[in-house]
Amino acid sequence: MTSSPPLAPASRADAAAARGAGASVELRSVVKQYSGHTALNGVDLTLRPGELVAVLGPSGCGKTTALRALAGLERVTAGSILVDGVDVVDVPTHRRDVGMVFQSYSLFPHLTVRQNVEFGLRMRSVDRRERGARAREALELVGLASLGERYAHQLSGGQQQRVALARALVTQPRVLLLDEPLSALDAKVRVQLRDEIRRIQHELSITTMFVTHDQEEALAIADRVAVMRDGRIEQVGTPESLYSAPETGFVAQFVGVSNRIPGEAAGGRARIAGAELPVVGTPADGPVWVLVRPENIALADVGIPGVVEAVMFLGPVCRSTVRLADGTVVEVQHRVEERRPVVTTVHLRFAAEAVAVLPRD
Amino acid sequence: MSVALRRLLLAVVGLVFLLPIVAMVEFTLRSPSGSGYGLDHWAAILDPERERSYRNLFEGVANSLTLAVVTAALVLVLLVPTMVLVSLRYPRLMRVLEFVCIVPITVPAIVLVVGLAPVYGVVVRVAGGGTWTLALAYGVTVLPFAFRALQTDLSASNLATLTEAARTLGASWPRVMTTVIVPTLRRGILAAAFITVAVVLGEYTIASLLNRVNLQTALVQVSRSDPYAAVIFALLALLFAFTLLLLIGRVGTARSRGVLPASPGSVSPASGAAASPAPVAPAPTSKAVR
Repeated sequence: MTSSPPLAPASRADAAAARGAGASVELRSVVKQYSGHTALNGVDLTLRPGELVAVLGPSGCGKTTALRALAGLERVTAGSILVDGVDVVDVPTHRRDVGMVFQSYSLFPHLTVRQNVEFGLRMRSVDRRERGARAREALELVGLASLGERYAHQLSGGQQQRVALARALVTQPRVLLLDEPLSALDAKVRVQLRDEIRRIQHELSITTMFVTHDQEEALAIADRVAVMRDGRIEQVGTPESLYSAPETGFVAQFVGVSNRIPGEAAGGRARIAGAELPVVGTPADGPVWVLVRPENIALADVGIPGVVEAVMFLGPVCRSTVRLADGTVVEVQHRVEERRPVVTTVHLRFAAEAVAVLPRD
Repeated sequence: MSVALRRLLLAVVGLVFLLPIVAMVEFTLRSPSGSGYGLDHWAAILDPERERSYRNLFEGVANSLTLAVVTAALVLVLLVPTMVLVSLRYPRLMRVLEFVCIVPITVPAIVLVVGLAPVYGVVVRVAGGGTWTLALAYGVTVLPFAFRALQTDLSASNLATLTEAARTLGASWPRVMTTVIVPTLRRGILAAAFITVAVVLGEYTIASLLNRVNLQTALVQVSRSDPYAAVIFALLALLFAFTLLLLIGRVGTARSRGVLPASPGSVSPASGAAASPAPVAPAPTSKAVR
């Protein structure tokens, strides 16, 4: 149900750690309470050096608060935050040596792009020549070297976030914090910048915490993903493990699309609508909700009968809504050519993939 | 509304404002002999032989300018950090602060003076009877105008995020104030300062009732013996206020184009690496961003 440690061995995460020039970060039982409201309720999370961990969750789950606590922008009520083993809870923000990119474009409007990027170096009293050289390098890194003399309002949203990224990286911080940096961008730019962030983070091997509410973004970019809910870490794992072996119903529902089908658990298997599937974990026997991904249900010549109620075209695939004989409605993902008209009777077959189950009252 | 009607309205309003000013100029250009026009009255102001008769007026000008500077400094030093603090840390208190700042506009100057008279008895005992002490009262009267000017800029800028960005980049609070907040609020600060100067230069009631000499009280006094000089100085004061308003407009235009003039608080490439008051984590040079 909770927390990150022990860290599961994972190839992407281990590879990131192996690259690791960044710092290790550990949030231990971090609690943050506002008047009458608990934003963080004992958060435990570890970031290995050079690793990119996405913190994923719905609005108000505490993910941004966790990031701000790590930055020092929020004072924690209890718990400790360790960077390279040193508790930084009492270290003021400006001495924590973190780089941060905000959701809203946070470029200083009175400064040019170059001056914005140089800002952190000025605060560290880096001499003018080196400042200029490093700012140029950082701008080259994000592909904006030619826009150094422009002001923020002369740039597009994507360009502004690139500059903000260059500004955060130019001081070579120990930890990079990204607070929903892509949320304000349009879809195409979002994907481009997402890939760019991943490339740069990979190149620099900087320990990075990436906060987002977009599960696709989290799965695409992160070495590991921490799913948060109500101020707690619900599950931490690689994108693959979160998707294929969610430990809770919330994770299963939040990460990807899942059908919630009533069934019975017995002897480590789940029985639903005439099919029997292996189960993730060892749930107690009895009535359960079985969570099945739409791509794990196929249209077939024989199988469980149902009637197509709607078909959604998603580009490379289609998703059909099918009502089974017992009234259960399921989403089925299939190839575009397999698309059937609405009200047609079809047959479904469940793939023999392990499914997550939730107790059903 | 048609273009013609708009132009007509503009012309009428312009005339209403322009006519008294033209009349004032015409009055000051009248020849002492009573026929024709000349610059005699303007030249007389600079005549060393008549310096004595205008001494009170020059003293009034000097006092008003001193008061303008002190009041502007006082108001900005108190109001800017307070508003920034309230905006960033206690946003719910903004309405209370607004109420406190707006209240003086509802109090007639004469009532203010009745309350201020005993206060000034104490002020004179503690701080002396210097001209600048009047700035304490003026500071209260200009609060509504300065507050509004600053609030407009404050609500238009995303100051909370900018401040946090600066903090994460290694800026201590004093440096955040000088390198981010003040330049970001530059237009509001300048507008507040200029409006303060304009209000102080036009203030009469408080100075008169507290028996102080400023530009307006001196003008009234001089007008009794030399109405030409009074009108000339009134015109000059108008011109000064008009110039200030023009400057506010220019600063606003410059900002919208993104070409702000350099300010002492802003970060400019030429200003070099100023000494950091608070040490920050070192930025190693070996691990360059490549």
